[in-house]
Amino acid sequence: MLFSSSQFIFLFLPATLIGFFLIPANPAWPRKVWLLLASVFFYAYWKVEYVPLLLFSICLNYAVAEFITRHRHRPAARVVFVTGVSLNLLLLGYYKYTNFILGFLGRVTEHDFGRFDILLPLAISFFTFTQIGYLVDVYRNQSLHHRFLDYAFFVVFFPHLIAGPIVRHWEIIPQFAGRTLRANREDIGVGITMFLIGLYKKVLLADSIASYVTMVYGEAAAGATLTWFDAWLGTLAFALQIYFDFSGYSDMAIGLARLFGIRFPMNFNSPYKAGSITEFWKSWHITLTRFLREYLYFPLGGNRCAPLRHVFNIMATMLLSGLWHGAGWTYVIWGGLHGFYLVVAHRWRLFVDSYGWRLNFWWYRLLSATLTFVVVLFAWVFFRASTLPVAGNMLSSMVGRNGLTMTDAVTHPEKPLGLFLTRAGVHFVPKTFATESYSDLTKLILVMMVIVLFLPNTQQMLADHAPVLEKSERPRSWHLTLGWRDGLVLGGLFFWVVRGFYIAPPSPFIYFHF
Amino acid sequence: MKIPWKFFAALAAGFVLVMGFYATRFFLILGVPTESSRWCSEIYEKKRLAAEKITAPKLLLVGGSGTLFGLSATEIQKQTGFPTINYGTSAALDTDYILSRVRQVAKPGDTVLLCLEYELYVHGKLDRATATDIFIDYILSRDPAYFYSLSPLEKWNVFMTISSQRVKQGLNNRRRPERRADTNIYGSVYDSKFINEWGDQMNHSLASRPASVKISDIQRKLVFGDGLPEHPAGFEVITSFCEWARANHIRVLATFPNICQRPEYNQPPSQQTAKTITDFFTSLDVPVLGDYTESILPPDQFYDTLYHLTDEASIVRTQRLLKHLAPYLKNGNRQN
Repeated sequence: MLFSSSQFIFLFLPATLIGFFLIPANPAWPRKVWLLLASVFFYAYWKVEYVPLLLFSICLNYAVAEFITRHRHRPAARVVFVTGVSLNLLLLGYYKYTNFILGFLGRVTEHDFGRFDILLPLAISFFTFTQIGYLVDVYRNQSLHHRFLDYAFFVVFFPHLIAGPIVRHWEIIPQFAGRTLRANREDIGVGITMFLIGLYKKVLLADSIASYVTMVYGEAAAGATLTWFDAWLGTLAFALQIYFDFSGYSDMAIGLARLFGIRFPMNFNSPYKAGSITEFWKSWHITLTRFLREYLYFPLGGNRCAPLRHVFNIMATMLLSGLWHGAGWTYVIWGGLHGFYLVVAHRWRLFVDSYGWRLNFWWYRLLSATLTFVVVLFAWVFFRASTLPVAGNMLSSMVGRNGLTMTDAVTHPEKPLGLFLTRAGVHFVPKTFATESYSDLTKLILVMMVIVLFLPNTQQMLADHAPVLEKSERPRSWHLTLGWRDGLVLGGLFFWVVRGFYIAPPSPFIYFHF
Repeated sequence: MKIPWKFFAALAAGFVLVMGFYATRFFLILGVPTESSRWCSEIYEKKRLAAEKITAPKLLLVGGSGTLFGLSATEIQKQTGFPTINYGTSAALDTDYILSRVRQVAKPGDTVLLCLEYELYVHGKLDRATATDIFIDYILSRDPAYFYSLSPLEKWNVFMTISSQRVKQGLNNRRRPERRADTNIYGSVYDSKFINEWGDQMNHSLASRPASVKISDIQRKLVFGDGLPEHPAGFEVITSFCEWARANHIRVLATFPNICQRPEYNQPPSQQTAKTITDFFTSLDVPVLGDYTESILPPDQFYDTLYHLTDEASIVRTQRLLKHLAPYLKNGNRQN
């Protein structure tokens, strides 16, 4: 059941909310049990066969955590901790990487190991990471103890269960571990607003360019020679699609949690405005970045070590980040590329600092932001391409190996723009694949670019109402007061989304695959 | 910070206001003709007039463009002397609509030969998941009465799924009607002037086949190799039509549509589909003329698309059909 589906919006969510508000807020446990049951149902709706796996994982991790707490300072606690984390990783590895490893071994040894018919359980990467984080925290702070209901609710609470944000126990459990669990009018208003904004990002923006992205990458996969323009536009479109898709999902998750009076951490903070790759990673999928930083990068030594070891730490963290996203070489290379970018950025910062330069110029910021955006685009090619040859095909068109080409469907060569482009060295070629109107597509992409580069993000717009755990800067304009004008606009746009339910079934969120 | 109740009221009001605005625009385009629906509308009108002119019992050949291009009413009338009208138009118009148009012209004593494309068995009443934009465009611009005859749910489905571009086009046409195009969007042969007095399509000879047509493209399309769904929606609509025909002393016959040869059509799934259709008609006491293999023709006998035969091939196919059809026409409609 997708957050953007009619079943979720018109059946599951209202039923869950009605049940929640019919149950008294004090004591909190009946409401928590209700939400726990609703979350398990939400998960089971996808595939009931995997519910035991989810419940087993929760029980196992809770038992491990309890053992560590009860046997604090004893060697057995360490053994159980290592076993617990290993079991989590083995489970994740089995479902996610078995076929990838077999394929790799097969290629290396030139032996066919076959394939296992394994269906990746929905959300396994997310609930595994959430629980590994919990075990590490329990091991570090061995006096940590939570009731089973609170722990189970923390893991399965449906707004974050499927694709994050990856939440940490100390920021979530205290919100509902007390005597009451309640949501007030502000929670409901902010929750609805966040949810609707996320829904609009997904349905009205991300899904609107999805078919073009699929077409471009499909053509590349079929071995077609793409024009330079299509290769760039397709990759730019994908960068926007994944941003609006995933940040839309995160907004919806944050909004849903807030409907029940629970605040989630921020997951996106205008990443495409980043002035450096380091800034990008501080604002893209923030909860994954901080997980990797705290539970992998820092334990490896972080930056408090020799330069070469630091490079290793960055590369190892980013390669594993790539592998976490998917069992494929394209993801590994995507992670590796970002690791390389981070190493270069770090070296550059050291270089600049060693000369004492203060690069606080607007043009430097513009240049570095542009460069960051372009290198991120190059990396997205690997993320989106199904195989390395497909990525190679896309990149060769992007760097102009097939010429600086554009189809005459974009603009006629004899129109003023066409003449200008011809003079600039662009060659016009006949349209190679059927796509919707380039005019509409480029306008939409332009609007989306304006939104990501110049408008405040969702939590900034709602800064007055503290929609996330972190404090957001209130923008001078475009902030929502949640008065009648905002209500009219949000309600009006909802009609278009409802129409969308009739036109096409909602497409799954990109991060559901991970 | 407290959120006022009027925010929540405005959320609902915004939804209702935009829906109202959209509904107003929608109702303003009902009955406003579009150029894209002209061809179907004109040929239906021509065929309707031809059918109404005949006072004696007549034969109506019913289907989509497969019937229009693939059977010859002229040849049937020439061979048997039985007044015949080709009432085929476009399969994009859906089974229910095609049969509803037949209901308007069929009279007691008439015979209806159903030569429905395989898709028309799959689709039944207006289903927005399967209805084509051509159909929606057509009923909104040319037959709003049909739109009003739909159930509230079907009307709602059309209202919610019509594209914004189509609404915009309708509003533009309302202000300034579209100019009649010299050539139809589907091709130059798709013009009512190429429909003869028996409702047959003319000018689709092998010699006039457009150079852009690739026979391999026609042959590539697999029509019914995957079989029919378990409960084809079209069966319900056809059943209802046959019941209506029986009540009105109209005889119904059926045959298979013309398709292009493919090895898959000799395989069990295709044979099963043909058997399902035959059994279905048999259960309704509707005679099925010929075997499905008789309607499978070589690729070079097709004109421009799947189901569309050339002039020459349609004569051959009609003559083949006549062997089965003639006895029924000789005896007239003796049902009831």
